[in-house]
Amino acid sequence: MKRIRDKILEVFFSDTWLGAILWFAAAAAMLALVVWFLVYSGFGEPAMPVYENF
Amino acid sequence: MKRLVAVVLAIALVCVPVAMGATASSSALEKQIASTPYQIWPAKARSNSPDFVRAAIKQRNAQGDNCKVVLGTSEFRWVYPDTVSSHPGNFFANNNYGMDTFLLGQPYCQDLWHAIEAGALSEDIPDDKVVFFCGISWFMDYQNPAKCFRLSFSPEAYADLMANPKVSDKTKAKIQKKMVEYGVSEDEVYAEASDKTFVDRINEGVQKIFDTSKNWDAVLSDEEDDWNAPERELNKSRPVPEGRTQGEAQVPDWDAWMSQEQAEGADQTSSNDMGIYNSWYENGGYDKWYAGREDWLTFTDEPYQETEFEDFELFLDVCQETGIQPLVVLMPLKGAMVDQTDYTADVRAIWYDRMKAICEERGAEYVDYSPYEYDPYFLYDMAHFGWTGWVQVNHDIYEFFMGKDEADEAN
Repeated sequence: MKRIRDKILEVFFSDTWLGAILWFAAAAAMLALVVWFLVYSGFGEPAMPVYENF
Repeated sequence: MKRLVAVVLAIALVCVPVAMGATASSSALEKQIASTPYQIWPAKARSNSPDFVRAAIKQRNAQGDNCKVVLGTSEFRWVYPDTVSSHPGNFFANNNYGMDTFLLGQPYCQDLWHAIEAGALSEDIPDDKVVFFCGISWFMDYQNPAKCFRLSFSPEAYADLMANPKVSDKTKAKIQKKMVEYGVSEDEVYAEASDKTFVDRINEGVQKIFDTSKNWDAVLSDEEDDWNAPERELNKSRPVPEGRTQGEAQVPDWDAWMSQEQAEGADQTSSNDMGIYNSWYENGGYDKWYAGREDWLTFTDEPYQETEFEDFELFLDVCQETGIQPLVVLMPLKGAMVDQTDYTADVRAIWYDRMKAICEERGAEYVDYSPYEYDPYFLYDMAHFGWTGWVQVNHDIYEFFMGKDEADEAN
């Protein structure tokens, strides 16, 4: 496990296209999480308007 | 460098569907109504949805309707089972006169609602011109403009108004102040208050992009609670009526229409000599009105409320700032009925004179129908256009949008 983790980290911080792909994957995953939270999850739902009773 | 490219590509990957979601959602509504964009009188859910109104105008005009916006309220109702064949839903829609009317507004929509609506839709109004039916009863002492506003208020139209850069901050602030006075919560009115956090702003910004992709069930539905079944049937969504675009466009034969409507009005009001439509009169509607008239058609100090005049001025201000040219229609009351109340001809004249002065001060075009208060077939009841009334109104609408007829000018 440790060898796999070290290998991934080595590629991640290297100046290679494989490293760039890993960066792409990481960025896309984080952005997808943000979009899910704000748009689809309902946690970002603005409050409903409140009217006085009439 | 490679990592920078990778991150930028990831951002682009996420942004493209988000942006496409925004454009797809409004065109999704247009697609859904494409085959049946037309109703005689769009019901409340539709008239309170600027997105629907935009899509409907676009799709109706794509089918050759050439519709123009007419703002008003309950006078647009198609009276049933009585016949008023000069109603624009028949006059313009079933004849090829080169144009049609988009009847926009519901009961309780008074000046403030229309001011907000004009600001919300200013960029989508054909020819930058609207006809605006203005009712004296909105101003009367018995009326409750605040309650009417709360009953008719459209949050979507308000949001679109506030997003319109052509409406000045001063006018927006006046509208907001009125909304709060009329009972809309400050949280709702001042939603862009600066005490929002940065996260709140991003949150609502992204939410807004997807807001229009929520389901359109309400605006697509032909069920309307306060219509009776035959009226609902008449008002169903359908394609632009065939008669509207058949053959070559003609100029209406105004004299022929007027003669026809004089005869129809006489027939449809045969039960009385005030020009009141038969089904209401014969079912005791007039008697009930007469018995109760002193309860509401009365005033203590002033006959008219200042707040509604202020809202009318706001409507004209919004038009002026957004480049919309209005034709203000000063709707009359049936003199034979209303002379029996505190709102005698002299009192009504106060309103007409004040409204004309406001229009003249602001350079707004108007038509004054007060001379027709005693024309029996001009209105079918106390306040709503009838047989000859609609011919007159249609004529003014037609000239406003299509220009004066040369033959007419020669006469």
